[in-house]
Amino acid sequence: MLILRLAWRNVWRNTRRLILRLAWRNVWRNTRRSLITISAIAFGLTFLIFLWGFGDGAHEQMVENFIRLRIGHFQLHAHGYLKEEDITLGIPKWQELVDKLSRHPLVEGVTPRILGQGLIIGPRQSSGVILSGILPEMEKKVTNLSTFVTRGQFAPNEKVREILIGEDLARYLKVESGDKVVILSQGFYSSLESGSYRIRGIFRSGAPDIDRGLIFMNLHTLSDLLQMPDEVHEIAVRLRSSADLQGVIADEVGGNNLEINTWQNLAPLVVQWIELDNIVLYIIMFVVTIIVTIGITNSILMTVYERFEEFGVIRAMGARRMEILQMVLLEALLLSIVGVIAGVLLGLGLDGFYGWKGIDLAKYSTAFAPFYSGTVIYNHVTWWHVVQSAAITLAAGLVSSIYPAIHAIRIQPLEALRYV
Amino acid sequence: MSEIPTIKVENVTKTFHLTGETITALKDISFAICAGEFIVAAGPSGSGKSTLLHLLGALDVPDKGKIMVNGRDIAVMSESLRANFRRYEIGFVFQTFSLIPVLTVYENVEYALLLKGVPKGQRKRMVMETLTTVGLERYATRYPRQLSGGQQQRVAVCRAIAGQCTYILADEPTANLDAKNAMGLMEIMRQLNIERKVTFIISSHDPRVISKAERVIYLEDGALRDSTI
Repeated sequence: MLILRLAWRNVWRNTRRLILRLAWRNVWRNTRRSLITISAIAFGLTFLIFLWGFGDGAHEQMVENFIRLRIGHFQLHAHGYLKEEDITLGIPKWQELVDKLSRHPLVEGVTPRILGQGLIIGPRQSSGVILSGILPEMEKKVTNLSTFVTRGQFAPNEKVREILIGEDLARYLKVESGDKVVILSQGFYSSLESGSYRIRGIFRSGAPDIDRGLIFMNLHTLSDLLQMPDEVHEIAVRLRSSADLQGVIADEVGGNNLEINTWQNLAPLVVQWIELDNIVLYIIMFVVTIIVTIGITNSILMTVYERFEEFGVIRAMGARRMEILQMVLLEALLLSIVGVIAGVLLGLGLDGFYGWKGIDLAKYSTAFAPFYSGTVIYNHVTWWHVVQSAAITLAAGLVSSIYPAIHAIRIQPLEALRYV
Repeated sequence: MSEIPTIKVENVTKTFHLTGETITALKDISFAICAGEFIVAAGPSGSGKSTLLHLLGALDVPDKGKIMVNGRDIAVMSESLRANFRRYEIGFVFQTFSLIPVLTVYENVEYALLLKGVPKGQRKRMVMETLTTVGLERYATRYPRQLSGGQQQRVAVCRAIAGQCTYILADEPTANLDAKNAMGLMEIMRQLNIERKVTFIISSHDPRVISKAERVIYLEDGALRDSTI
């Protein structure tokens, strides 16, 4: 730190105000060329910030939708349940845990679930499904299931045997809201259980595996069907912010002998997709940076050639090579700073606009569906990506001036004076 | 003017190789210059005047011989030492004025002082003092393009002299000026020479410039033909 501070002071001491003024005026010596260079920097950076805004926004939506779709920020299961899917591995005394978690100030919602596997039989077709028993009012605070209902109603009643099924499943079974279906399942005590249920609502989540393979009913209804003791298989927790994840886990569930899975563990595909997407964005960033670098190099090189005599005169006056180098680098830095400021403002403006309006990708919705990002992407760039893009563009500006600067410092004063 | 020579040119030869041809710009010349002299290196085009000035200004090195300035041979100095020598001891005035177009008159003169590391407060005083000497204090905030050729060359003289250099080398300083401006410039340089005791070495083939010289070093085909007072 001390070395950095000393280096900075030294640079500042050497970079007198007159030198800064000289560099600044040199930047505007050929206004048109400087504006073209600044535009290249600014548009390159605007594109990067817009792209990151799109990527970050899509990723954020993807995570949010995935969390809102079913899993929450984290889930609790009895040890071995997720691996075995054995319905006898339940969470006892779940009410106490749910109450405790619900009271935590950073928790937005907690929902217990009973899960099972079964066969749903319609008038003409049958299909294997996952049965999910929920408490509708608690589920509403964790997932968006209630908003997915397109026909009929949400909130399967515990008194009446009602279920919610996905659109794809309904189409396959050729059933509609209000129709009756039969569900067969293996109960807690390994007995074969069955019941007749009325379809209360049909939903569309956009996730094919849910719309085709998951049915929802009241937790008590499913508990009755499976002959469950007072246990649930899953507790899903939604937090006010993802940032609080580890804190809440440590506060509330650390001492319970339960398997804790965060959304990252439960949705590795989403995490991998985000990582892959980020790699692609970094490659684009690299390519844009190279293009910008070549553009600036060309511009500064032209400036150096135009001022061949001037550099010679300055060298004749006794300027050292380092001072010439400093002058060229400073000009490139100033040019880049102006370009970066313009680029950041334009990029943030564009992100702000598309963050408000959204980019409708409905045409490609089938391609986006498995990744839960939705069909309208709202740009939302993270500050880290803005800072990273700006810093890389600034560095590109400096790097691009190295080659012209080397040319400038190699100018022999005598050669330059003869050139006049 | 002191009688002790501060510059001694001893048997200096300088050749250039141009497309297979060897041109001898200076042939074994020797002479001495005392501090505070006002010298004109005269001679026709191609006689070696500019080459001589470039060697005296440490912009180039001779093939043979010594150039002793205050006891140091600048012909054997490293490039960085020669840059330092130019920075602190020499002031240049070029034929084409060579002012920095984006800096004002004041800033052009200040820039030379900045290279010498003169502190800011002192710089301001020195710049204004020098501009006043040549009658350009009113033009301090103007840019070179807003000045006439004669005024620009006076700024160039200011830039050369502001840092209190010991020697001013002026390569054909009046070549781009009309007669009136040329004589005006010569008077200013002579005045500075007398007042500040700065040694002036001017290259020129203009008889009016030569007539103002305290001493003329006459070159012909790279050889020293005459040195008159």
